[in-house]
Amino acid sequence: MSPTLEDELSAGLREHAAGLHPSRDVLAAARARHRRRTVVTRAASAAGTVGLAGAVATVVAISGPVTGTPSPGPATSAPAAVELDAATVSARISQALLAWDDSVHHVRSRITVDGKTQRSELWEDPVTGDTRYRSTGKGSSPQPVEMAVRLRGTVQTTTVVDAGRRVWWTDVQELDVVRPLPEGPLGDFSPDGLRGALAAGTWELVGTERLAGRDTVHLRVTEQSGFDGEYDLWVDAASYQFVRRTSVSATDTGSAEHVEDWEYLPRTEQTLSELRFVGVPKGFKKIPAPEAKG
Amino acid sequence: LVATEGAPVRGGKDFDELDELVATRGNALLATATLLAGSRTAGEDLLQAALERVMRRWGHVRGDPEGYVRRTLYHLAVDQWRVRRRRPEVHLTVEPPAPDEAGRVQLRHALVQAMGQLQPRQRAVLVLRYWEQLSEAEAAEVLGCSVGTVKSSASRGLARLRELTADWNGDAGDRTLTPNGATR
Repeated sequence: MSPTLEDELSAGLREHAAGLHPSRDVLAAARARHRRRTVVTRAASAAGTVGLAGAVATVVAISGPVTGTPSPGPATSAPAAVELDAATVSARISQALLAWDDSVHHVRSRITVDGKTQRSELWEDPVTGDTRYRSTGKGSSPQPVEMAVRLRGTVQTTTVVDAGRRVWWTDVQELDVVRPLPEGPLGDFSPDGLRGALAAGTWELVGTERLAGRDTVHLRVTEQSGFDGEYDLWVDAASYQFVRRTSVSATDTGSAEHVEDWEYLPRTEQTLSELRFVGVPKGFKKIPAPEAKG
Repeated sequence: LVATEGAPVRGGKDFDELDELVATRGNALLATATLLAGSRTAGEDLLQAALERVMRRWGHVRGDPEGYVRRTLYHLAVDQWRVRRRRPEVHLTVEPPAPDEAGRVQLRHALVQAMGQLQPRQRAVLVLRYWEQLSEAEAAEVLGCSVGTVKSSASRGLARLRELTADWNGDAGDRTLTPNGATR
């Protein structure tokens, strides 16, 4: 009597799973990821956006790695000399990530989590690591939430002003690494992490497109280890800096959709003023920093 | 996920028990994760994600942490379907096994490969039923769904596998499975 499909399936599953050993320290990696997430969740909780913590984490996450040079650099010296393919573009983005520039990064984001949309703006000074984040309030509240993050060595100071609740607080964290960049949908967003993601993912070149007044190259992730979602990236066709990024990923209760538009502003006095904490409005009550959740 | 009543609640940041769990049961957990995710690399990623998820909720975990990690693996694997179904469906070609036997092992390998074309819930149910050897009721408890859902998912999953492997023995409706050319 021949075995049934169910019998063969049982045997096949046993054979397929036999002798597997973790090839890397998954627990250490999980612990590191948990630690980074905790840092971000504290900031997100502090910003009064607990319900959108994952999405906010992504916004904060992108503050670190934006690199490359506004003027053509090594990666852009001969953009038209070779026919573009996904591997070439990935290599050029990776190369651009090697260089820090002195521009101020400005990102406008629209995040929709389970049908609720939040808009935000983020400024980051890659020279100091200072970040300022401003979002609409939680849910449909029009009152803004301001968050300023100052990083000095391993001490991260986060100050939050919640206009909706008319409260503010400061949270000081001693971090175990100098610059703990939190994780977004594609994982670690440090320059090294991004280069790793570029190398680990399978990318397809969608084509060249005109976007926000710039010639861009559009890439799409078709398979990315550790990330199960849709991810599209547009980079400047000359500098290979990020222009737009969109992603769709699953949450515990639905999905999160992100659209981010990137600008690189000259490091002028006016631009740097966007990074300055505006201070606490009169009459706001100081409260203890909320505990991280989750 | 349901905590075990009466069991002690763990401290917030002490993951020693997870260290021990991974040291002693890491291979088994990875095996489950690999079968759910479809490849060893994806399985390691899934296991890492599950461990991180458990760490986040560690203060609420009571009782057997392995059961908690396993349930998390299954829940993450099934939840990913919500994102996957946004993509256009991609049909992969599963190579049929060679007609000779080394045959039988190849057939089973191809059968497991074909599971990659199932919906995550169907796949999870088949792993629970035919790898973990759980009953329908036990599988339903792990997935947090009804026994009926387990039954229908298993039935559809197996039907799809029969479809995919129909050419291997020339009869999609036959419950027996043999490599091409083999005598049944």
